[in-house]
Amino acid sequence: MLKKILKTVSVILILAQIFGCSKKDEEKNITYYREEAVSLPDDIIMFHDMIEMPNGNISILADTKTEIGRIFELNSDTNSWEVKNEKWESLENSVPFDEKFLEEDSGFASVLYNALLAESEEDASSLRPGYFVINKDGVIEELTLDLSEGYESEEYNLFTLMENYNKQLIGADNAQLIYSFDMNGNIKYINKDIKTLNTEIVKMIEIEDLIYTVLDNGEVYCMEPGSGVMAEGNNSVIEYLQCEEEDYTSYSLYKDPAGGKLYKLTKEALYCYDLGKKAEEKLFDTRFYDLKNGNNFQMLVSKDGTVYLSYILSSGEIRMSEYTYDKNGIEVRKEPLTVYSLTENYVLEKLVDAFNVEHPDTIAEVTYGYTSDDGKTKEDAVQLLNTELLSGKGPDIIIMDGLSEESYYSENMLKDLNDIIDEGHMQKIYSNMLHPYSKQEGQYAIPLGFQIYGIIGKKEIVNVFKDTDAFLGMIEAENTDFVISDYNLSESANILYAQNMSKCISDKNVNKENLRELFGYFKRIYDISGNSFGENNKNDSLFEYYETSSMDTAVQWIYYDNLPFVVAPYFNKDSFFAAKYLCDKEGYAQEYVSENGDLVYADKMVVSVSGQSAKDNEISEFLEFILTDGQDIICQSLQMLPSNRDKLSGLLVDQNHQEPYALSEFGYGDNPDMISIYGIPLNQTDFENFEKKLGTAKKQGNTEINVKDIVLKGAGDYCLGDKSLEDAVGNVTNQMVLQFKE
Amino acid sequence: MLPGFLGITVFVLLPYLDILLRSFNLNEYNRTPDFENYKIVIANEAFRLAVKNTFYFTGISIPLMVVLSLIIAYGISSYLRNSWLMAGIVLPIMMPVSTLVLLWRTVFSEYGFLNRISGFAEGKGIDWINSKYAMAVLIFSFLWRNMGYAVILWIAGIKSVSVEILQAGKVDGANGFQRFFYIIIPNLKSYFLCIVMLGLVNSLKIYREIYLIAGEYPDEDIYMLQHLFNNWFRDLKVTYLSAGAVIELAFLLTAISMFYIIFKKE
Repeated sequence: MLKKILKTVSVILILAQIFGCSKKDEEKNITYYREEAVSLPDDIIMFHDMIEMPNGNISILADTKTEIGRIFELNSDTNSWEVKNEKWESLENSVPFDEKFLEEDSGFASVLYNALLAESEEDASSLRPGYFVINKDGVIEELTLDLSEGYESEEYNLFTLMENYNKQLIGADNAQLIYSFDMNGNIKYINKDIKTLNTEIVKMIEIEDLIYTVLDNGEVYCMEPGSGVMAEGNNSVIEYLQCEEEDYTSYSLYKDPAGGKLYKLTKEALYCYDLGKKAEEKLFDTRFYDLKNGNNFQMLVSKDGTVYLSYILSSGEIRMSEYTYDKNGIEVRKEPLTVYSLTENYVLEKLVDAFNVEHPDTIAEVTYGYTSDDGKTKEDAVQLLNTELLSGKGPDIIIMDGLSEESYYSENMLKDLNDIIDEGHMQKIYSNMLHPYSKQEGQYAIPLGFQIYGIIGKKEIVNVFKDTDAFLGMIEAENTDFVISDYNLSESANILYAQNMSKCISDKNVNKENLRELFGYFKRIYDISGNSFGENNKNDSLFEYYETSSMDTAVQWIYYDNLPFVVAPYFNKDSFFAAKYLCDKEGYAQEYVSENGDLVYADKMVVSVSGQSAKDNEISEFLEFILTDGQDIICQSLQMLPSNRDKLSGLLVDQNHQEPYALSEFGYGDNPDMISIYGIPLNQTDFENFEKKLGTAKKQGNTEINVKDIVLKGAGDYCLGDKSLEDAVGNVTNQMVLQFKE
Repeated sequence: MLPGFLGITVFVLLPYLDILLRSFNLNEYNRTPDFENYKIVIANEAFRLAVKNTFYFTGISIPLMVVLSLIIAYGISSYLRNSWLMAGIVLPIMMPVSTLVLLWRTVFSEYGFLNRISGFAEGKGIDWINSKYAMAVLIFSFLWRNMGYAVILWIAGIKSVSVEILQAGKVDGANGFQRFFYIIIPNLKSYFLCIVMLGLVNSLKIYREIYLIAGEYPDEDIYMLQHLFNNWFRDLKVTYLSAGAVIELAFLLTAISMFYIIFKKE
């Protein structure tokens, strides 16, 4: 009997595996809090605090475009905001740092007093923070707070009020010293314990006559509010309050005035802790609500249990929502659309945030393969991604930067985007940029942005730029200090790589002779740099910090040091504008990196869709967004140029403003003389000429991370003397050959 | 027995069946097996190189391990009965791989200990791990780490040989050498089988050390099957990976079966 059961179970398991019973049902989620937006008064530019009035109405303390410290009360009958305080005229020329309610009719404000009246640099440098108790009737009282024990530079030290306990103003300064002042500004005590812990204060809250200070190292410090002496807090409260370091930007606390419940908002959820029952409850998961896109939360829970939250979106918009309990539960949106990027990508986050605001019914979430502080490596992240994809649980949208798109395509892991995206959107992308990702009439990825590389410098140097040997020869002959230094060594190597690497590999064969030549070039630029790394400062990867700043920053060295040339990538409009100014007005020349006469570009944010994803509608919405409105975010990003022809034109061309203007200022040292970098927008002719080159541009080859890493690492070993030229080239060749053989 | 069987089924047999199906391109859309993946894998240069290196490494390191550990075990059991020595021999097995990697970098890098004692000036020595000596370093690492358990097993085997037989041999005039070869060794066959099997399995784990020292693309001489499989997984060449894994398993099973049959016959 047992044997029969075993056989049956085995057969069932095997059959299940064969016929694939691992399909995932769509999940539906239930939440018990209904979210409703609360429209705020017009013209609010900063939201500081809120309080519940004795009559049950909500009051907020906010700044408008014209006035600071306005108290608005939401009339629950008329559902409109009414201004409740007189203007604080003596603060009208000040810039506020923070404002808090002390009681229903008074508040505390820290401002940069009369900052708007500063007319000169000298005036500006003499500004100091001012602290005031502000009343509804317009009366203000200045407090002189002695913060001299804190930060060394007193003018930069700022006291942040965190708790008002029995008319004691308790807070901390920049040095993490905790102060207690009375309402006249007299110091009651200073607590220096936190400063010694080398951490920062996240929040402070009074619970059962103790002050709990939440720190960003995950600990909670407890002290007696009256004396500032360290105290032993309630362990369960401490455990509840503990904050994971990455959480603190969304972390917010609120204690109800009756003292019975403590609310905590984190990135994941809103929790409630009953101080009497010592029980914690999760109220709702934040990912189902708009607030998950916000920062700088202010929280209030009214007597009837309604939760009010204000927050700021990444676009700068201030929002306020109320969350009311619905015992029947509300079916919320399905699983979020996951957008995967191997490494952290700020532009992607902004795109997703903007998409979520515009499409509240579809939640998109960014997930990263690895970040700078999670301890994972790129290899770990790729393995995990592949495992997830193979098991059918992968992300919906994948940003291919740093991944081998060819592998995913050849294994049928990607969808044909022609089936998802409107043809009209595709046609706006440069066709040569789409081409590398087109296979058999299908389009399996789209680059949202790109960058190019180039040189700006003296004409005689730029004219020989295409011939690397002659170019380096001229630099060596010039013998100008710092023309290549440790600041731009990696970037110079990157440019050499972009210009010469294609000669070293052809049809998956390595040309050792050309590779030797390339390594020779790396050695020459290293020698020109003056061997600044030397024997005592060896770096495992000599050339690893490239593409960190664009041409508009690199030209500083022309302005400051009068260098004969600079090389850098162009990944924002200012690069082009700076180049045009130097060429048209200062007699410099420019050239882009090219190969056989064709411009070379590198694409960025290459978007593809996982073949397993069933969220076609949501994906279509997201892709349409990033190819239309999202392109504006890419234009603003300063980290890449948009691959959309119209957006690129709109970004670079300004026919009506062809006069030079200051793009930015820079200076070095303690009291620098600031130098302006000038730029001129392109005109239509400039753009058309550039577009002719761009339209036939070739995607930079051999940019697979493995190949580039191997070559640059090998070159670094040779330059530092760790390996001979033959050994370095041989090693790199072997590694690349192995890779190609696979 | 049922829980164990279920565990093996779920975590071993079913995944292996999945790999087998993938290697023949069998899925919900294709019910006809084909050998395309096998043809591609067998013809693949990287696969051939990896197989050659793996065979070379296994073919040298396991016999060396067997012989050296037997000699050491005999010496310990006969002359140097010391528990501290035994503990010292087993110590390398307990060392974490990351510590081992650090140790080898200290010894075998171009600035390492080996270059210093062999007279090379600092910075001009041989990078042993990235040179033609890489395989020798690898074999040395394998032996150093894995001989311990083999010695323990041999000692257990030697001690299991009946004292009466040894004394009888001595009485019959056999010297130490003859007693070792004609009495002790024939009685160690099952231990030999066990040590070779374990050695075979452990030889495949050498990948961890190589990967930590030399990354995804080490020197050609120490590019093993696991490197290839790891890189194929990274590049999502799962069907090739599956075919390669099936081929490797087929070799292993064949080798183990042959050993088993030979020793069972005897």
